[in-house]
Amino acid sequence: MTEHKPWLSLPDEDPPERGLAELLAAARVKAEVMASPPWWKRMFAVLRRPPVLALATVMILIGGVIVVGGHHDTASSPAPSLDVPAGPLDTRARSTAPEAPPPAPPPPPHEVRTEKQLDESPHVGGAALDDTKQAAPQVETEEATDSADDRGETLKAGAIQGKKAPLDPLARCRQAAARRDCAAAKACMKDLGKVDVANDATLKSCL
Amino acid sequence: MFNDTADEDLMVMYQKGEVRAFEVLLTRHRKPVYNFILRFVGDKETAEDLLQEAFMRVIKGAEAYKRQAKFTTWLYTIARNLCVDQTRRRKHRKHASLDAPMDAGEESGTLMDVIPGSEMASDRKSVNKQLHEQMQRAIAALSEDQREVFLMREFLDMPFKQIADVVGVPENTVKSRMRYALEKLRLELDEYKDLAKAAPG
Repeated sequence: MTEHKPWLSLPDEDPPERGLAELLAAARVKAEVMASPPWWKRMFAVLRRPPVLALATVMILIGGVIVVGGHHDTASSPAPSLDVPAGPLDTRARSTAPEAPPPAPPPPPHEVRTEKQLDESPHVGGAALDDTKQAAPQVETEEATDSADDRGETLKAGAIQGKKAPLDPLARCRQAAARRDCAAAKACMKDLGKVDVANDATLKSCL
Repeated sequence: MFNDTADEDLMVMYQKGEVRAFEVLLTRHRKPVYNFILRFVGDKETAEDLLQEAFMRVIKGAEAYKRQAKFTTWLYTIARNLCVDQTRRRKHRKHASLDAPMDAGEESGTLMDVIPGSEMASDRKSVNKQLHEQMQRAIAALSEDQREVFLMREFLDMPFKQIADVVGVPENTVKSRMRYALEKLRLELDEYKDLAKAAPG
């Protein structure tokens, strides 16, 4: 083997000692630096570790899916998105009652019922008047309850409207007759023109 | 304490601030690296400087060292790069070297052959020394690519794969360069037989 590779008989030379102390001093300084790396280097080293990188990747993917999914929902159905931030707007909308659908005018059957109530108590005198006074708000209250889906605001508005609403001319005539104010009742009936008072006991008593 | 510890483990310990680990590495590799550099550049003074520079680079780059890399691959890559840079600088300066061939042809003699040296001319006592010089010249006559491969393979017993990693070429290229280097050396060392015959005893 040596015959074929004569260069292997070449002796190795020892390196000089020159510069060895310098090397060791530099190594010591570097070792001190490496032994206590700054916090950000340690932090960076931790962040660069494969498990942390994998976790970060997963988090980014999940976040991306959430963002993209939310954006997709918003694009497809805009109505719910308006609902969410409209808390104050909703309150304001409720406070502005006029914008809400106005309560329906008192339906005729109620009036008929009122008339019947008046008819049923023609001879009570003052009591009939009290009944009439009570009846009107009650009727209006019922109407408000029916028309405004139990809303308190609408109920109040309905009550106010009930007080201000002009009475039926015939009912006014009846009220006047019930008060024994026959003059007023007659004038009222005169304004109405032809009125069939045959079946109306209250008016008949005044005539 | 650290004599049986692997180079890579010693390097990791040094990264943690253990200076003793680096001292062991230095003791273990200083001589082979020095001889590699010396045979590459053929000049003792330059070899000393390059040896110092190589280990300084190891110290500076210690933080960046990864446990997965083989320490000797990293160390000899540094040493080899320094040698290549040095030989390129030397070529650029075109300074006459005692060991360099006088003519462009590789078969011409060197300045060392012409200058009357007291050792060589006076007595020729040691044929072995002459033979060694002859071999050193033959190695120096190899091309740079072939020389580095030859030195790592024959003197450092590196596997072809590791040489390929150090040099940065495919393994087959390394094998090819090695084959050419051996052929060339055998041609150069034909005189060795005559010298061996002429040697007393």
